[in-house]
Amino acid sequence: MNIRRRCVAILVLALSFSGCGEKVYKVSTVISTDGTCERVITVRYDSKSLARSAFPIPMDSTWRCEWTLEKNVDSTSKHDDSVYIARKRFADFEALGREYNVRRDSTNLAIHVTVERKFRWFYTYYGYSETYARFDPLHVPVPPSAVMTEEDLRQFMSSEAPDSALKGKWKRWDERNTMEWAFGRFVDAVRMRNDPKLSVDLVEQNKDRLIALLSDDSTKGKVPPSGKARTEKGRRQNDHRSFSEKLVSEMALMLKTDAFRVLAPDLDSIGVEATKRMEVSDRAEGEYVNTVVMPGVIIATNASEVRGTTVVWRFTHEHLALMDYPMHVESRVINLWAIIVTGLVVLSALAVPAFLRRRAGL
Amino acid sequence: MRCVRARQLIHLNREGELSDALRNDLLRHASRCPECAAELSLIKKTEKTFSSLRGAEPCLANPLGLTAAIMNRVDSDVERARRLSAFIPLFMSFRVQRAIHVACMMVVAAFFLETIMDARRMTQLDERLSHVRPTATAKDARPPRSLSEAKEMLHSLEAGIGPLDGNLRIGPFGQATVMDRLRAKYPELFTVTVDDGLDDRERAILATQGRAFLNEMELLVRIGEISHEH
Repeated sequence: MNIRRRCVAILVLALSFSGCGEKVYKVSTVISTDGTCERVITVRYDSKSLARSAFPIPMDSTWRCEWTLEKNVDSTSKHDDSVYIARKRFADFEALGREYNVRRDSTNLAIHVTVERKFRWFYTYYGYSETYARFDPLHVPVPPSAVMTEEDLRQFMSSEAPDSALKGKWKRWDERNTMEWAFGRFVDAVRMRNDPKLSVDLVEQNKDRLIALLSDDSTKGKVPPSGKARTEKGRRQNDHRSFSEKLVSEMALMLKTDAFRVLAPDLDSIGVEATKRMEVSDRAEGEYVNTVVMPGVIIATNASEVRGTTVVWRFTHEHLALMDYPMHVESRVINLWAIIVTGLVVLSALAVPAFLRRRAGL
Repeated sequence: MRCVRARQLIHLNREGELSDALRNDLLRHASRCPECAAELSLIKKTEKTFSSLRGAEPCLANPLGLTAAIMNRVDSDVERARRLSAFIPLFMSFRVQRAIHVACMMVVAAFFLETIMDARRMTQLDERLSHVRPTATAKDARPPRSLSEAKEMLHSLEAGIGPLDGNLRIGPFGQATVMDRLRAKYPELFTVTVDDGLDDRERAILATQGRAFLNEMELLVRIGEISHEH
């Protein structure tokens, strides 16, 4: 391992991993005691155009949609950000659930929302739960558990900003998925050639070395494996050919057979396919801020930010890549009238015998 | 006759109440005792006053139905009392009273129990929120506290550096100068490899030089010699 890279990465971590130009999806839901609720979705873009996104951005006429310009305080950019705002008031809690109860394909985020009201005489309890289903449109071959322990997963999912160690594990998992997939496609290409000089067994036996070769090159920016490198997809697509030729040359040297040189076109197509796959997986990329305003007092939630009757969850596509992201909150509204009625009934029950006893004195 | 006996008989001195013998004895005693005479005189005056009132009669709309009305009212009161009294054994019984008290206590207890359980949940929520981990930025800004943490950090750095290589900017001293200086200062540290696991020698090097190295890197960040460009 190159120690220089470690050193420089320390600086990177010290300066935080916050990304530039990432989309921010803000969802705000207000639950009312009259059974209605309002949802406001805000998405910030660089320009006034709705980019294709895995997040279901409402555009139909049932939503009040508008564009506004807002100053980007986090950026040195002079131009303002375009903010898309969509609002909708739902007549009842079920209507909100139905809004998202639509079957979507795997390239879109599946969201399930449930709001319920439970009357318990003295108190009325309101429960809100929303789950963003795991975003795995590519059906990645390596499960997160291969890199992260259960505790790691739990910590990652419960933390808005996982620490560098956890982020490092996530990146390793992401890269490993890319490499495993690429290696699988490479094996398929070798098998399709059906060339006696190109043995699948030889490739399988040298899997670790080949993946290390791919990984090493990927870290030099020759293959867009994950993360921020994906922003240069276009340029890298053009580099696939030169990369493929160099890669098969290195493979040939490593495995001591020139037969691998014929696989350069296959590696090209794998590279192009990898780029397309990344475009799909990048559709969920961004930061998600989900805010819910509940009636009454918050008594339970899995959010890590509670401000009065408002709870906030913040997560990113990294969380969604690992597993479902469940959010739930429960609040309580006191029924003052029920307490008064109960008090009167109790007093009456205690007073009736005394009253009857007095009347019996007649 | 004594005064005590005379005072008793004075109040019975009406027509048909006393025998002639007793009346004569009373009058004889009064003629000798001035106090009893005064008392007898007062009673006679009072009796005379009330005698005139006895002649007055009530003016009623239906004097003939008075008795019947009174009796009807008495009957209805008796009937109502009888109806109520039918419930009295029920309400007055110890078991029923106890059941009423228990029911009332249960209602009140249910209210408090529900409130206490909710309060407990809110306390648990507060405790959880107070232990929310600091953000990654805050955590990463400090040197590792243990060898395992240093190892984890180095692993994460390895993973994190790849896509960010192009954005790093080395300060006025230049990359080579900085890295050469560090390499010269920590020659053994530059021989450590984490990917193949840590042996005892590498552990010892990390333990002795690792933290100092990370502290120095932090310092370089602070003075702006090395920075990260978005």
